[in-house]
Amino acid sequence: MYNSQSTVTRPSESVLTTNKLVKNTYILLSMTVLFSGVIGYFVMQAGLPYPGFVVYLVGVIGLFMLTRWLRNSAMGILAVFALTGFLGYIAGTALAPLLQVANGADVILYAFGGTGVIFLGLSAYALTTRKSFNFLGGFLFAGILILLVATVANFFLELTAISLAISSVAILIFSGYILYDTSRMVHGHETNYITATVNLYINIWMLFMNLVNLLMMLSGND
Amino acid sequence: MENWEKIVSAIIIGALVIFALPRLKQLLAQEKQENEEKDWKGFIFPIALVVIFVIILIMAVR
Repeated sequence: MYNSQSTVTRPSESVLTTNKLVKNTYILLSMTVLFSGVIGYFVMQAGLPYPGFVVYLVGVIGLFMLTRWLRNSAMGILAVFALTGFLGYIAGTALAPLLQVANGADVILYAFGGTGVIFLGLSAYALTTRKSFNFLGGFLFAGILILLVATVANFFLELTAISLAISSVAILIFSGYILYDTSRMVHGHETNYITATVNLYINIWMLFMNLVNLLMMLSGND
Repeated sequence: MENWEKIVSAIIIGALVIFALPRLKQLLAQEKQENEEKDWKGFIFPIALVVIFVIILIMAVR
């Protein structure tokens, strides 16, 4: 009730700005998802090599910072495509070996479909209910930091159980981030469509990769 | 993963976490200040649906 009242009393200019932001974000997001999918497909077909975890980390952090730096200029769009193309490359190299495993193609397909359903469902929930999930910021960010620490620990421990726990928690955290980032757009806390696109893209990418990992481990192929 | 790669990755991630800690403190302080209504039920409901959906996916691939 409170939310619907606040929606009605919002100035029409603000509503128009929000609608334009949401529209631009989803257009750029669909283009980047398509682009990274095409890159990933060609990487898988060509059998290009995985660049290594250090290159992956430095590349993602560097390109993410570049998109933040260029977010108010047209060059920011190029930076978004560079980041999403790079993540498409990484996904392609990570998924290619799974195709050689029995059930691997099915797992990728289920994870792809599952990611789509989760993203569309959570986005629709946040957009239609217009609930504010701004209070989740600290909670989700703390979750990411704990995940990072657990990931580092598992570099050395190499335990399947920890890997399973990391993927499970990551799916929940990035699902939460979809609600949080969408609600920030709706409530005017996020006003830049480049930043909004990058945030949502990373949520989708992390959700997909962790879903693949979880399904692969629990399908008996790890 | 090679040992050197694990160590370098751990250093990069460790630096990232240390760099991000002030941002976490800032976020938590900001949320306390804003004193916004926390609709945890509205958050837990869709996340519970995600959990059920993921369980169904796991059952489908087994």
